[in-house]
Amino acid sequence: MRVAVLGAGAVGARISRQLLSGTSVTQIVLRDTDADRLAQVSKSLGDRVIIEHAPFNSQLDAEVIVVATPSGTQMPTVIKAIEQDRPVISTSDSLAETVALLKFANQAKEKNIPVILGAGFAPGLSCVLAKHGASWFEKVQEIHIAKVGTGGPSCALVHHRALSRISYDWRHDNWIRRPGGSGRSLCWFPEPIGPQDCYRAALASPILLHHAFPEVPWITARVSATLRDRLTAPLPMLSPPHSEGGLGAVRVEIHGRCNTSHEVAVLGVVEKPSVATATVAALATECVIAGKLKFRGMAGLSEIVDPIDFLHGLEKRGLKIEIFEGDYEK
Amino acid sequence: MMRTIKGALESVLAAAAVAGAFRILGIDRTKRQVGGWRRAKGSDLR
Repeated sequence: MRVAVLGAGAVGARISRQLLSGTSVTQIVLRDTDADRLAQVSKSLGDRVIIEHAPFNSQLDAEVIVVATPSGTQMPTVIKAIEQDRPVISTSDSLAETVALLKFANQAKEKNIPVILGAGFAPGLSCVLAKHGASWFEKVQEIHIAKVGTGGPSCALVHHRALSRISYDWRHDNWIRRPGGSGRSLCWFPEPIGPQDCYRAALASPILLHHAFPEVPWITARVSATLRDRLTAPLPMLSPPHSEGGLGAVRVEIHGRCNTSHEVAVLGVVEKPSVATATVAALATECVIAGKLKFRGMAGLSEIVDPIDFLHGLEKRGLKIEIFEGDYEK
Repeated sequence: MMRTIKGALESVLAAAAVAGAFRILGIDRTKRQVGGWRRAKGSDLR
């Protein structure tokens, strides 16, 4: 199977490495617009990788397409892949792009091709954790996602911008719009991350979670931020973003009814966001190749893969899923 | 002008004094976690 990976950044290069470590992919076409980056990445990849220095949405010769270009630039490539009847996996975590891409769901369904949106850390892994955690309840009432950390420079830029834009939370059949950077909430992540102040931001998670759980009345997502992050969010980035972020984490809190009592389940994962995103996207690609999908069409990751199989696959690749046991003092 | 600056400084000092007093009394905004995280077992992933 020939797979095209678009984007040779912190995520794209890792996706290529992960796909090459398996047997289902025979060849990878790794494409980027940055020749220096491609030259650097190609040194660490073997001869099963064809390096292409070309625009992302120019003609591609591959059976599956993984889009790991910066969030906000993925839409033309995904649309083109749908038009060419190619399965596509998008790692975008941009709110606007996710909303825009969901408008092409009917087209993907008519063509009967798998299009996986938000195959990353959050959305992506967070949605799969939510889907699995939700199966422990008779009725899910609330889902709250929180995320710490960023991957490569473009991920840092999305985080920076998201804090100054309008956030969308789902509450009682309405999208509640609130300014990014508001609504501080102290969230406890697995160690060594620990407690972090998290805020509203323009995040794609609630959109994809509402798509997966239309019956859940309350869905929110927050992202950790410092005072400096929030103060400088409306400005252009004052210093260039780091090439690779540090350790990050995702936390999924689910409230629901179980045997007439109100219960809370909290799941989390600690990992570098770019590593986790690459692992999730690579595994999603292997699910597409193996035909291990619940249906063909456009959907978020949690809707289209079996959450238990997927989480087992992630564990095998080194992601540690953690569960909180205890309570919080009021 | 001087009065405005003096007023602002007094407000900052008053806020710092109140925050310090709360901290000395052991009252802060941080909710505590009782319990901890554990690795998901086989039975959690069924």
